[in-house]
Amino acid sequence: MLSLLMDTSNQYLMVALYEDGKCLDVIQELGSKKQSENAIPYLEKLLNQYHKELKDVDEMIITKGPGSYTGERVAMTIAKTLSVVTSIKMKSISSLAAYAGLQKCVSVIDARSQKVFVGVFNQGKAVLKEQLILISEFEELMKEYKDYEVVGQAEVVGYPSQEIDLAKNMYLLAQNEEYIDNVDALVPCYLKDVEAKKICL
Amino acid sequence: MSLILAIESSCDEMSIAILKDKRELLCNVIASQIDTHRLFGGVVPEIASRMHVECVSTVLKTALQQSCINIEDIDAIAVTKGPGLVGSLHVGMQAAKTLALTYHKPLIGVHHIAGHIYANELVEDIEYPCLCLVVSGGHSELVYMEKEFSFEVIGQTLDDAIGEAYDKVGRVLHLPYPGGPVIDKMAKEGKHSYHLPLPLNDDSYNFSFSGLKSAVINLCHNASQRNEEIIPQDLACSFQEVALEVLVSKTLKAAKDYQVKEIIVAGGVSANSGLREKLTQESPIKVMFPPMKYCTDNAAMIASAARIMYENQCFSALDLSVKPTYDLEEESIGE
Ligand SMILES: [Zn+2]
Repeated sequence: MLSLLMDTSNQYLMVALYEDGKCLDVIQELGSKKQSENAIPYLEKLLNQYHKELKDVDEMIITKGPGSYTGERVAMTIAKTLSVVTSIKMKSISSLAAYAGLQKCVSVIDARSQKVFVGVFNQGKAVLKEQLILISEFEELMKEYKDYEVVGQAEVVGYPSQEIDLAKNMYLLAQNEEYIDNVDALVPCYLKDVEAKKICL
Repeated sequence: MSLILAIESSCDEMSIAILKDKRELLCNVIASQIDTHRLFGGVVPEIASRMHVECVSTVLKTALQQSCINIEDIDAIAVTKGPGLVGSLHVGMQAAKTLALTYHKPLIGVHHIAGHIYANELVEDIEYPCLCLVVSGGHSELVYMEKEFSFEVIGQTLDDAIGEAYDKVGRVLHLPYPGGPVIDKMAKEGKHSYHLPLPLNDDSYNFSFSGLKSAVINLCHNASQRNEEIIPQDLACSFQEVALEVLVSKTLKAAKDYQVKEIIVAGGVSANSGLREKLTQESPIKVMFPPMKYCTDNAAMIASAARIMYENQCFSALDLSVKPTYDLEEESIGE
C-alpha cells in the first residue's frame, strides 16, 4: 500500500510517501510561499528517489483547509485530477486537525484581517466545532481550555509556535477516516464566505 | 502529428480540449460560470477559483469520455499560464502538472492571447506576415506577426480594454452582464444620434477607451438631471459606431504600414457583429475572424497554440508558475 500525503493549505509545503504504514520520506518546508510552483516538483523528486510511479499510489491523504484559499486548492486539485486518471483512493483531513494530531490542544490558523481559524482537539477528536473568531476573542476561548496546548500558527495569538510533524499527524488521523465516496464533489473547507463586493463604476 | 490535451482556466470558464494534429478537435468541454457572475455584475475572482476546483475533475472526465482516447497516447499537456486571474489560473495549472507527472508528458505553458490568436488556425491556415487585432475584456492590442508564433505588440490600450468599456457602458444602461453582446444587438436597432468624442484619434496604433466610456456616463447623468429620456438603442449605436471607428481605422492603418497579407481578429469582442461587418467591408485585404464558438475563452484555442509550441519543443519545467501578466512578445519562437 503506497500512500501519498500532501499539505499545501497554509504556511507549510509538505509532501510525503508512506509504504505499508512506514514513512519512506517527507519533504516539509515551513514558510513556503511557492506551494503552487513546487508541490508537483517535490512530489516528482520523492517518486524518482524511491522509484515509484504516481500511477502506483494507492491512496492520497490531503488537508482540505481552512487556510489560504489558493493554498488549499493546490493539493485538492492534484487529488481531484489524479482521481480521474488513476484508481487512487482519497482521504481528506481538516488542516486544523492536521496541526493538532493526537495532542490535547487548541489549533490555530491565521485567517488575516485580525481573525483566526480555531479548532479544539483531544486524541484526534474535535472538542469544539471549527470556527472563525477575532484574535481579540482568543483569550476568552482559552479560559475554557486552560490545560490545552496551542498549536499551529500560535504566534498569531501570542503563543510560541513549534514546527509540527505534519506527515505523521495526517497519517495517524487518516487511520480513522473513511475514503471519500465522490471525489468530484470534494471542495476545500473555506469557513469564510466570499466577500463579493459588487463591482461598481 | 500530435495529440495535445489543453486546459484553460484563466477567468470564469474551466475548459479542457483534446486536439489531434492541426484541427481535428476530439473534444472541447467548457464549464461556464457566467450565470453565477451575472448576479454580481462582473466576474468575482474568488468565486471563479472556487467553482474551478469544484468542477475540475468532472470537466476532465467528460473530456476524456468524449474524445475516446487512451490518455497514454497524448503527446503533451498544455495549460494557460497567464495572463488572467491568478486564483483561477492556479487550478488549471495544478491539474496540468498532475497529468504531466502521472504520464511523463511534456508540459506546455501557453500565453492566453497566443491562444486567442491561434483559435483562427482551428479553421484555416494563417498567412504571414499578418496583423492581429486582439479585442477582449482585458485586452485591446495590435500585434504584428512577421512569421508563425512571432509577436510584436505595436499598439495597445492606454487605459480600459474595449470589452471593459462595453461592459461599463452596459452597466450605465442597466443591461445584464456582460454588456457587450447586448449593446451589439441594441446598436442594430438604433441610430447614431448622440455626439461622442472619437477616442485617441491620433497617428499611433494605441487605443484609449476610458474617455469614450466617461462621455457615455456623463451623457446619461446629464440627461437624468434634466429629466430627459435617453434612447438606449441609439446610445448603444452611437457608442458602438465611435468605438468601432477607431478600432477599424487604426487596424487598417497598421495593416497598410506593415504591408501584411491578412488581418486576423482574436478575443471575446471578435464575436461583435458590428466589428465583423465593418472591418470586413472596409479592409482591402483578407480579414479572418474565429468561429463564434472559439471567440470566448476555451481550451481548443490553447491546444491550437500549443500544437505549434509542441512542434518547436517549447516545453516548461514542472515548477512553471502562473502570472496575471505574461509578456506576449517574450513568447515568440526563434528570436
Ligand atoms: Zn480570453
